Order: sequence, then structure tokens, then C-alpha cells
Amino acid sequence: MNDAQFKDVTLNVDQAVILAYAEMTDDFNPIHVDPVFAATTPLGGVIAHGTMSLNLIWQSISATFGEDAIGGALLDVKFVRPVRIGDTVRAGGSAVPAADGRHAVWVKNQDGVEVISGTLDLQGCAKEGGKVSRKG
Amino acid sequence: MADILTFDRFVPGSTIGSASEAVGEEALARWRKMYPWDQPVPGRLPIAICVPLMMRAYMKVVAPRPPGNIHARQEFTFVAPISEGENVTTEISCLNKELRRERRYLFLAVRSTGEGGRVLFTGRMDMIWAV
Repeated sequence: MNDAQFKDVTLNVDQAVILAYAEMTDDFNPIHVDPVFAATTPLGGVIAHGTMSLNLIWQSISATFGEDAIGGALLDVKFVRPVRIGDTVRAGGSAVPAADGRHAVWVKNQDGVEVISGTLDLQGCAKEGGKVSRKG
Repeated sequence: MADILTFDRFVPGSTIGSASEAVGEEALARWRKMYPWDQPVPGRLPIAICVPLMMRAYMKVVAPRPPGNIHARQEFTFVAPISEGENVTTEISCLNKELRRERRYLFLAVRSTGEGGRVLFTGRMDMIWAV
């Protein structure tokens, strides 16, 4: 792993995964679970829950730094594009140069287009020797 | 049935409600099936599971909602890991609301606590409310 890069986490999105996440969150909005209804909306079809992809960012952060090092971590993201059935989404991030504890985070689809974009601030976390420790 | 929560009904600074639950085995099994690589420290829940916990509280507390709301932005501070079987209480309040270019922006504050009232995570949901 490049020291500046987070460990990537990837999820293949299909209707079964979306339905499983709907059950997990109790969010059965028809835009997520009803292809017939979703086709009539401006989005033109089913889209995945935004937070289903957001989970991948936390998993990437946890895999990169270790969960004991990120108490106080502040994540701020925008849901910028929909994720659709058949997409493969990948979460990751990288340090922002000359910004101690600040990182860019993202989720991208199979075309490399960002679907979630944001920042992670680890300045509020417990530090070791002045730097946030990185796992692995 | 209660009246739909329209934009006008949200009062900045007020608590909307709270929901409590412990993540059960069925939900954990679902999580492991969807994210099999997400292996937490033994005795703890995966960190990211705080996201669906927040969403479940939102679905329960901020209801009934009009259709067509958009979750535009999410701020999230992870404070402490959740222990297996720990009861988590998530309180949701209205932080603010604004009309911008005919869009109804609603800002919700989220605060989750565990056993003994210890804070687990906090957050802010930026919504574009439909009506």
C-alpha cells in the first residue's frame, strides 16, 4: 500500500444487496426497492441507498488506521451521484498534503466517477508522537 | 395516523425524538453477508454499523415523511466503538432549516449514546425536504 493511500474497499451492487440493506435500515423507499416505480421518477431507475456506500468509507478508514486510533474522527461527505444496480463501488482516501490529520475520502464507481466525496479529519483523535498512527 | 412532517413543522433547536435498540444477531448476520471483509475487534460491533443504526433511528423518529426527500450531505463523528449487545439510544433533533433557491434545507443533529450514557457517535444530516 502506498503510505498516502487508504486501503480500498469494494462492493458489487445488485438488487439483492440493495434489498438486504433496505432490511438493515428499514428504508424501503420505492426509489431503492421498486424498479417499476423507480423507472417513473426523474432518476429513471432504482438507485442504491447512499449510506450503503458511506459504510465502505468507514470500513476503509478502519482498515487503514485501526479502530482504536480513530475515536474522534470527523467524516464529512456529500452524496454527489447515484449508485445503480450493476455498479461496482470502491471506497478509499488519501492524505491531504500539508494538512496534518486531514484526508480526502471518496467512493467511486467502476468508471472512476465519484459518487461520494468528502473529507476525514483525524485531528481530534488520540495521537502517537504527534502523528495519527496508521495500521498495516 | 400522524400528520406528515412537512418542512414548516420542523422547529430549529427542538428534539424530534429518540429510538433505542441493541443490534441483534439477525442484523449482524446480514451485515457480515453484505460486508464479509468487515471484521471488528472481538466483543465490538463493526464501526460502520453506526451508519445503519443512525438511519434506522431516522426512519423511526422522523416520521411520517413526505416522499422525495434527498439526503444530500452527512457529517459523522465516531467517538467510541459499540460493544456487542449494547443498547444504543439515538436522539434526533432539528438543528436548523433554510430556504435556498426554493429548496428546503433541513439540518438534523444525531447523537447516539450507549450504556451509562457514554457517547458513541454524533452526526449531522443535511436533507433537502420535499414539501
